[in-house]
Amino acid sequence: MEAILEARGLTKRYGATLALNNVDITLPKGKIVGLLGPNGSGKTTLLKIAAGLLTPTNGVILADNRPIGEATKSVVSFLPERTYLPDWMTVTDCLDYFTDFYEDFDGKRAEDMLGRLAVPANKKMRTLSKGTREKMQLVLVMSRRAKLYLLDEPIGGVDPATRDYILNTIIGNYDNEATILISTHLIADVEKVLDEFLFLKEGVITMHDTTDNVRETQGKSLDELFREVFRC
Amino acid sequence: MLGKLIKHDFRALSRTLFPLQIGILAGGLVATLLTVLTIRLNNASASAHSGSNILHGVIMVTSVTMSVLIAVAIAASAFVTLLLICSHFYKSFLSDEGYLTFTLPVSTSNLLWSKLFTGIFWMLINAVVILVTILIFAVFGTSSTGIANFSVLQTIQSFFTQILPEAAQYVSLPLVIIECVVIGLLALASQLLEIYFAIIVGGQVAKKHRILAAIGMYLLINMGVGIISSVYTSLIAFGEGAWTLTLDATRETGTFFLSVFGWYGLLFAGLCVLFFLVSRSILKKNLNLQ
Repeated sequence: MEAILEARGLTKRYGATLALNNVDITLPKGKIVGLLGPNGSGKTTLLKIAAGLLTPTNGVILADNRPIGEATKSVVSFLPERTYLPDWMTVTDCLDYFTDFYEDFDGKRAEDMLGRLAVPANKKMRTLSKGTREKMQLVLVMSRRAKLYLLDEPIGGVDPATRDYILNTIIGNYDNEATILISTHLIADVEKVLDEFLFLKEGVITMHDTTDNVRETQGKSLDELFREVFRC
Repeated sequence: MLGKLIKHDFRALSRTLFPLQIGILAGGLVATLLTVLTIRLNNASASAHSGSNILHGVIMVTSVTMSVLIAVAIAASAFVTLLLICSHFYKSFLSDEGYLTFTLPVSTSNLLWSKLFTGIFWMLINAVVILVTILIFAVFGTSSTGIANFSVLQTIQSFFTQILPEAAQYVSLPLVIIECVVIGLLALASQLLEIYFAIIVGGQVAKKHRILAAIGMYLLINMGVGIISSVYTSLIAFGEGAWTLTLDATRETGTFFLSVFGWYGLLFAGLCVLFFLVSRSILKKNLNLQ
């Protein structure tokens, strides 16, 4: 199966701290993959390296068979855990911005989703609530016809209703050819949508399997397995 | 993609810099009116009897104070313009907005070019606005009788009709103009790139207090550039034969300065290339957005 994301010996060190330790992964096309691990396990670091925001200390990482750079950024859609849209921008400005820079951005789809959220087009980011800004970012990111989506904690810190909205948006806009790598520690909420999962512990991939396999061979839910593996 | 980057950088900067330039012009007009008022009141009190002198005095002091304050504000606007340009650079590259900037499918060079072009553009616009404001003040704010002070206009006219033709006897005017424009742009570009470079390096060395780190880096880099410039200037001055010049040899002196300016242009160009390449290399090979 053709890989959309491939890492070999990927290592990231922050001073004395080893955030990623010799990580090897191969993610196939057309899958929803959970990047699961406790806080500080290296999930965000891995996603940021794949998005081109961090430089690895060692190792190789390829997205769509190319080193991370200008070309991969046109096929990778990254949703960070923080709000990054300038606060002076209006909703329309944000749509213009994405339309200008991403050839795969589907403006009509984004407008429809924003219409359902009832976000006025002339509203500035600074006037929106944190939750609405996060939804706005999710809409922008998921309105791209990207090959690889990197979603960093998209359901962290939001109420259950919003959580459902976010998961429905992700699934509703999912293209079968694309891969979604979704990082979270809220396993029970995402378990039902995942095809595969990666367990990341202290910067090391400790398990990479399909969710079906876990249920069939171990008779456990992913949430149960996670609690077992990461028990404090 | 560069065009699109410039469009969005221009949009982001215009939001604050356009009102600032309008404010400078408005402030200039207010200063002009207040100065005219002061001059007229001064004339009136000189010819009038004692009764209204206190009131005139109060108005005059207020007008002069306000005019001076507005003049200082106009002069400071160049610094504020530069500060806003640098703040936009910092936010785009090192704050949370960096997540948006560095996930765009554009080259690092284009990101830097865009910031440079828009920065130079707004610095030039600011210079023009200050110049126009000063001109308005000089022509309309210094007249004691009529609406305009025509002697200022005559002085400007004489610069074009007398001084420039006279200077043309000794140096090639088109060459001087081209050289001044090119060197001016290179000096501006090297200054902006130096600040951008300091911000980038400051962001690399400090996890917290990045602005302070950037200021520290700028002071350090500026010191280095100052030393290089001084050594370079001395070498060029002696290389061009500064010691053989005589004060009455106008043609020779003109050619000397043209040549020295040319060498300065080369220095600014070298600094531009150096700052641009090192900045690009850091952002490309060592980007670590926290």
